[in-house]
Amino acid sequence: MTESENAPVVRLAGVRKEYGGTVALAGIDLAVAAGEAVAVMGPSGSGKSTLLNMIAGLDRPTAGTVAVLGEELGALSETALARYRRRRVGMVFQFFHLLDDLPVLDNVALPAQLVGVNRRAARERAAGLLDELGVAGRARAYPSVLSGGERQRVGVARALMNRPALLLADEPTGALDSASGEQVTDLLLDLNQIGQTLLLVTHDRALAERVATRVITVTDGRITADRTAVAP
Amino acid sequence: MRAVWRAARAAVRRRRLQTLVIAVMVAVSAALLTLAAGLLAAATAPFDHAFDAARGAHLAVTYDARRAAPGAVAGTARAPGVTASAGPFATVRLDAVAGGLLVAGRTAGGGVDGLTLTEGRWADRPGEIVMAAGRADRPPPFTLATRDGRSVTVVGAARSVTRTADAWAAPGVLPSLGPATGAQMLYRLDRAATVAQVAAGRAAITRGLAVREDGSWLTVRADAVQGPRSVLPFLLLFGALGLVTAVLIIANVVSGAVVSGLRHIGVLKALGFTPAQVTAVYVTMAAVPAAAGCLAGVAAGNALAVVLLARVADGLDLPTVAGTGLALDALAAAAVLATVVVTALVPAARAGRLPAHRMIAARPPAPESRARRAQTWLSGRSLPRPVTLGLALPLARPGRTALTVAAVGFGVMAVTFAAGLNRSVGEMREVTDPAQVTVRAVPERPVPGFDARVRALLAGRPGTERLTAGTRTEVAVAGAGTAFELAAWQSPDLATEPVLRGRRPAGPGEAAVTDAFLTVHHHRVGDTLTLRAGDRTAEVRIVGALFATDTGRLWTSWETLAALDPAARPDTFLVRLAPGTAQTDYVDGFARALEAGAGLDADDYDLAVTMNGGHPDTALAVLFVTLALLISAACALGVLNTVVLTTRERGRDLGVLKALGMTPPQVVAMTVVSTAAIGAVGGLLGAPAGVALHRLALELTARSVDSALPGTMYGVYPAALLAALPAAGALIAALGALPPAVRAGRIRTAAVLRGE
Ligand SMILES: Nc1ncnc2c1ncn2[C@@H]1O[C@H](COP(=O)(O)OP(=O)(O)OP(=O)(O)O)[C@@H](O)[C@H]1O
Ligand SMILES: [Mg+2]
Repeated sequence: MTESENAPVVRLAGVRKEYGGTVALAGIDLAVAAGEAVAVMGPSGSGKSTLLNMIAGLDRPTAGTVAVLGEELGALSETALARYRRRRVGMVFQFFHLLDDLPVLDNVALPAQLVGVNRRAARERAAGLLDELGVAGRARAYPSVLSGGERQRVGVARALMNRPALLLADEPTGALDSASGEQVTDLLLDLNQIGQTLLLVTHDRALAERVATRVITVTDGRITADRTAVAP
Repeated sequence: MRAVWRAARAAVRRRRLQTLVIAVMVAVSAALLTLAAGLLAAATAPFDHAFDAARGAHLAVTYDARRAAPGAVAGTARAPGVTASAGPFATVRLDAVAGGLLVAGRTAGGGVDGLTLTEGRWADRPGEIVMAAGRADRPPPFTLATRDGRSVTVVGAARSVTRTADAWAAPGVLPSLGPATGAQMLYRLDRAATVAQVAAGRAAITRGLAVREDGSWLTVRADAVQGPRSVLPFLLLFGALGLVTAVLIIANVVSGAVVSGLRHIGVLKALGFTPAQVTAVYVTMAAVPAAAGCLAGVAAGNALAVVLLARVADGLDLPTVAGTGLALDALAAAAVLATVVVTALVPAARAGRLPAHRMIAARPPAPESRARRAQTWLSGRSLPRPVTLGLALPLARPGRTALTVAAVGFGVMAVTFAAGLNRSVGEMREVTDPAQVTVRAVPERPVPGFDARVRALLAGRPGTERLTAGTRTEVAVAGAGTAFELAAWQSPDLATEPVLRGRRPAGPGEAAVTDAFLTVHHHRVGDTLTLRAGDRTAEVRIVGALFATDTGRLWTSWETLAALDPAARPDTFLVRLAPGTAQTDYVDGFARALEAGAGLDADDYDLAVTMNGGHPDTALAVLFVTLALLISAACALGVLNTVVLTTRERGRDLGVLKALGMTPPQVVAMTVVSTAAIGAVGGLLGAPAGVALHRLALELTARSVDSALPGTMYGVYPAALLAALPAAGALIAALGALPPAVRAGRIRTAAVLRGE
């Protein structure tokens, strides 16, 4: 894609992360350009989720710097990091992590309300997103009655609520059966094709091959392979 | 069983904070419970308990040492009807400036009328005495001047349940105090329930021996029951409130701990633990720290009770033995542990029966639909999202929320009650004792102008703000009884008790009675009474009912009293002190001035100076404040515990919210708001309940003293205070929630979300 020459959305330089004695990341340098769909693969425990969390500002590196859209995350306070998360990134989780006490529509509207959008506008946009993602019929239901595939589509809708520059997904199909997994995969592909920058962690080679424009392999906290996929 | 123990130990170790919270909470509650139980024990039939505990003397007789042969006196121990006796103890009359003292030669303890040293040490050197507890106005040691110019040192205070003497000293010390004039014998009788039985016993014992003075336990008992009667309902209700609060909080903490462990329970069951074993694991998990906390708490509660109850006993002349006693401590500990086990057992047993997969299947049980409806309703309000989320949180766990509301409610209730009681007791003392110093100066032989001279002397003392003189005389009331004390004051405003009905007697032929008199003798204001003193009678019309906690009193105008008793002269002077004047200094100064400059000979009059108020108020206030603080502390800790549990359970949701961009301050706000809401509800319920309890306490008091109470004792809650109390509930709850809320704001999102 042509955007790959533009200023990077994400730039990691020499990122290390240690938990006590465990080295989760052992020096990562990475740049992701706008419009890329990057799949992160690698064995269990290799540091993929840790890498994603660094970019999401959910955790801080032991050494090195993480910058997103030119903003240096290390310089931000906890509160500023929270604000960064709500405006810049959308997160999709393997286990959906929807709030059980809120109906689907309110779950999706929540991020907008956190940035101060009024309830009506937030719900309108949430309803629109649910419609686009094909789960408009479940807007009033509570998450516990939804199927896994439906929940993940709601999760994606929530992540898109604030039009994030960067969509992060940690094994988004990991908890889904293959049919639902496929639907979510298509969804992510569509999103990327309309320009959404995407970084997803996956064990699923099929998913990586269908969606990703670039596949990174992490082994023992290091990037051991980085190849741009052949366009389908 | 080994597996159960090991799993419980692992659970305890994994939840250090929660285990600590259980231990601390149970300790505070156990201390509260022990103190409350001690209070209840002290407040129910205090005299009879103390009398039994100290083996009080049914009859105390002081024989004339010069006329009764020592052998004969000692021989009375074998008189019929005597089951136990002590003595003879030599006695000395000490003429201290502020009044005469009967000093008996005894040591502490003793098989009959056991003496308990409450302050200082025993008097075992020449010139030393130990005073009866509550008689001295300051703590020992201090010196006391005698009329003959010597001085004795008061080195301690001791309590005698039957008040057989005013002071004591070791037998060897007695000769240094003066010549022995009496020999005291103390008796326990096999039949001493009625005045007639005690009189019969006395007749059988003293047969022919010269008696200087004697005393029956019934007199002391009537007297001892009289004073505390008006505060006992307060103590009883306060004790009960403490008990209920302690039990509630323990229930809340323990059941909360078990509920929050549900998922762990599921894993245990999957590993093959039987339901009974699972239940055992959880009961053990709660019981071990609870037992530790319980022991510490009971010990602390006992220590508090020893200090506080002794002070209250002193202040009220409650003849209790200090402390709570081992039996009561054991009972308190057993009650605490039983509460722990029962409240752990209920949810643990339910958990034991739940199918394992439902508990492993992640997340807490689905919230009630009510919670969801509230959530939906709240999300429609134009409040910031964290606030509406927070407000809906309590509804997800209605049971726990109800317990927390109750805990805060009881806390606010206790504070409200304590504040009201403190002010009411203050009012009661204020209204019954508008004067701080009472001087009773009775001439031993006619001294012309004696009262005028005392009056002039008092009027001239620095610190005298207002002064009135009056006297009392004994009269019979036709149809009601013989031993009424009729009082009259030259200017009644300073002296008399508050008016409950009608007005004070103002002119000749008018009288006021106590409210209890009206009740007991079926009279009404406006009725006429016939008073008789000797062979004179007077008809008086009841113009009002006054408040007094004892019943045998009447008031009339000075003219009417003078008509009944022409010899009556003012002999009692009430002094209201100028603000800032210390009672002790005033009394000392007056006694010296009377000695020195009034042209009066010390042998000519009998003088007694009493200081009113003081001691009891502070003792009660300290007790009320301590109890209220303990209860509120327990409540705040209970709230803290609830928030710890809630935020732990909601860890995943909090992580998600933070991942979505909720800032730490917003997380704190959400948590604090939810708790403050609980606190506000508790406060809204607790404050009126506290006012109602206060009212009940006053009603009980009124019934126990057979009299209405002055309105000033009821109206102790200013509107502003009442409005502030629910806010206090919210504030206490918010403070309790703050530490765990801040912790929740800091949780590591990544770590929480990984846990799934
Ligand atoms: N919060 C944490 N505390 C301690 N160790 C951690 C933490 N997070 C990650 N680790 C450790 O860091 C290493 C990398 O973990 P990470 O979750 O990033 O792996 P992963 O590649 O995502 O694995 P998986 O494919 O199983 O999800 C592992 O050894 C893990 O145990
Ligand atoms: Mg991972």
